[in-house]
Amino acid sequence: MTPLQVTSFLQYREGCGALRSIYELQAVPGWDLPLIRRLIPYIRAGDEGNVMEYGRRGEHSVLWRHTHPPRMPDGYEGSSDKLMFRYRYSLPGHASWGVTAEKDAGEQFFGGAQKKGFDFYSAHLFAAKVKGIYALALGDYVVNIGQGLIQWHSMALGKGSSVMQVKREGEVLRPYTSAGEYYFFRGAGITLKYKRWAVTTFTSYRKLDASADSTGISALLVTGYHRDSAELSKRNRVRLFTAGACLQYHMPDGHVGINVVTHRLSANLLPETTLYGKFAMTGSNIMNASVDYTKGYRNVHLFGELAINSSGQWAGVQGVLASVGPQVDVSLVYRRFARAYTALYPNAFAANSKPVNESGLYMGLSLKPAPRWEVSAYTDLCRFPWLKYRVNAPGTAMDALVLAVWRPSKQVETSWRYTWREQGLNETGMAALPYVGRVRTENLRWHTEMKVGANCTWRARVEVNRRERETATAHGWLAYQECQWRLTGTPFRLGGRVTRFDVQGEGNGLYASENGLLYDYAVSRFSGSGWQWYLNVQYRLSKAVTCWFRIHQTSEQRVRQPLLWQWQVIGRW
Amino acid sequence: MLMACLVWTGILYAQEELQQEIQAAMELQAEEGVPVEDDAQWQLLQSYLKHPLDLNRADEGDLQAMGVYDAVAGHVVPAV
Repeated sequence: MTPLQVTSFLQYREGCGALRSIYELQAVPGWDLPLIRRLIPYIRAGDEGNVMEYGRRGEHSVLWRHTHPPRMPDGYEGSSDKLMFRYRYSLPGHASWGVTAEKDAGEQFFGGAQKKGFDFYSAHLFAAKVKGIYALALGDYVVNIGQGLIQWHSMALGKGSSVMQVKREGEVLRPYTSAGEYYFFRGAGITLKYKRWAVTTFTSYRKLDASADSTGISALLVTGYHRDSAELSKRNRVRLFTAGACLQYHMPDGHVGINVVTHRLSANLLPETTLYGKFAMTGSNIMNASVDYTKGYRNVHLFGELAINSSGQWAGVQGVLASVGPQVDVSLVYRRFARAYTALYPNAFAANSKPVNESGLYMGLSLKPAPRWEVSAYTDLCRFPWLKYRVNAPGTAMDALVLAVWRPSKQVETSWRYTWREQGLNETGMAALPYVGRVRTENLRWHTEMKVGANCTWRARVEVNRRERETATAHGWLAYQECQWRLTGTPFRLGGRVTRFDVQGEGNGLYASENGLLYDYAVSRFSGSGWQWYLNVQYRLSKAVTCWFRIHQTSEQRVRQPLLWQWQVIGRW
Repeated sequence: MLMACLVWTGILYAQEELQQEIQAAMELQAEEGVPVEDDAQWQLLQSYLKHPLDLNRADEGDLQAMGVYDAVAGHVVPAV
C-alpha cells in the first residue's frame, strides 16, 4: 500500500462514509485486485464488532526458540546454542506490554559473565489512543521521525522492487519488542494530540557497547555479541543519554513537523584515522534538528525533510509520488547529504547505509500495461563528493532495476527481474599505486510460483549474475525448487527447498530468503559452488500452541557442513 | 458456502503473494547490508491475521503502518 493509496482510501471513506463490505474496496481509486487480495487476510470492513468483541482482540503470546548453528569458532565461553524467549500482550493499536530475552550463540547462560541467565533483556509497556494521550511508551521503545535523516530506529525500505515505497512513514513512538541490542531507546516517551497539533517528547538513558580507552571511544558496537573476554570487556562501556521532541501540525492529507534530537555520550568519540572517515562523528554531544512535511493533493503526494547537525552540516530529502494515469504511477526522490553530516540513528532513503556524503536522484515507474501484467522500474544516479570505504576518491554510482510480473491466473505468477549497478572500487591491478576502478554488476532472475490444488505451492527460481571489475570478471548462478505442503486433515505443514549454486569471484554473491520459522529471518548468501537444502515442519499442537522444527544444511566445494537445526514453540491465548 | 470457499481461497493466495513480495524486499535488504533483526512487522501482521484491522475505524497511522509492513515485513507469514 503506497501513500497515494492510503490518501485515496481516506478520501473515499470521508466522501462515501463507512465501507459496507470488503468488496467495496474495488471502488477506491488506485486500489486494484492484487493489492486487495494481498490485504484481505489483515483487514475487515462492514462487520462492526461490539464492545465485547473489541475487548477480545487482545492476545497474549509466548515464544521460545532454540537454534543450534552448524559450527562455532573455538574460544567462545558459552554454548553454541542461540536462545530466545518472548512474552507479549498486544491489543493492536492500543496496548502492548512484554518481555524479551536472548542469548546469542557463544554467549554464556546462567554462568560466568551471564549469571542472570540471558545476555539481553528488554521490557516495554505501551499504550495508545487513550483520550488525549496518543501514545505512551515506557521501557524500551523506538522513535521514527520524518524521513529518517535525524532519527529512525525501525526497519525501512531501501531501493527495491517496490518502487513506490520510497517514503518513510509511520508513528513516531512504537514499542520495542525485538531481540536486537542496539536500535532502540530505553526510558519514556509520550505523544499528546490536541485538535490538529501533536507533540512528542522522549528521553532515554542506556549503556552501549564500545571500543574505548581512557582517551575516548574509537567505535560504537552494534552487534550485541558478548562471547569472549574481548567482547565482554567492551560491554556497556559508554552511557548514552538522549532527549528529543517533535511538534507536528496536521492538516487534511498531510502534516508539517519540527524535530529535535540530542544525545550525550559519557566519553568523546575519537576522530577516525582513515581518510574516508575524516568527517565522521566526533565528540560527546550530538544534536540534530529538522523540519519535515507530507502533503497529498489529488493524485500527487509530496514529502520531504531538511536536517542540520550541531556543526552546521545539512542533509535533505525531497520526494514526489504521483499517479499520472489510471495504470501509471511514478516516484521521484532527490537527496543531498553533506559529507560531514552526522546523526546517531539515521535511516534515510539513500544509496549508502547512512545519509552522508551523497547526492542523488531516484526515479521510479510502476505500470500496469495489461490486466495480468505489472512492470516496475527504477534508476538511481548518485554522486559521492568525498571518499568512501574501499573507494579512495570522490565518485559516482548508478543502478537500475526492471521487474515484470505476469499473473496468467490466480494459481500462477511468474516474474523476471533485471538489476544493473555500476560503482567505484579500489583496485591495485598492475599499477604501482591503488586506484579507483569501476565495478559493474548485473543480475537476471526468473521466478515462478504455482498453486497446485488448495494445499500445495511450488516455487522455482533461476538467477544468474555477472560482476565485472577492471582486473577480473566473475559469474554466478543459482537455481532452486521449493514446495510448501499443507497436509490435509492433519495438523502438519511441511516445506522444503533444494538449491544448487555456483558463484565465483571475490566479493560476488547471490541472495535468497528462506521460509524459516515464524518471526525468524533467514536469508542465505551464496558464494562458491555447492548445494543447500532445508526442511521445515510446522505442527499445530492445539488451538493455542504451534511448534516448528527446521533443519538446514549447506555443502560447499563438496564439503558438507554440519546441520543447522532449530525448534520453536509459540503459545497464544 | 460458495462465497466462504472463495474468501478462504483468496486468503490463502493472498498470504502466498504477500510472502513473495516480502521475500523480495528482504533479499534486497540483505544485499544492502541492512540489519534484519527487527521482527516487529511480523508481529503486527500476525496480530492482524487473527484480529483484522477494521478499515472503518483505522486512522492514517494504522494504514501507514500496514502499508510499510505490506512491503517490508518479515518474509513468511504462515497461518498459525
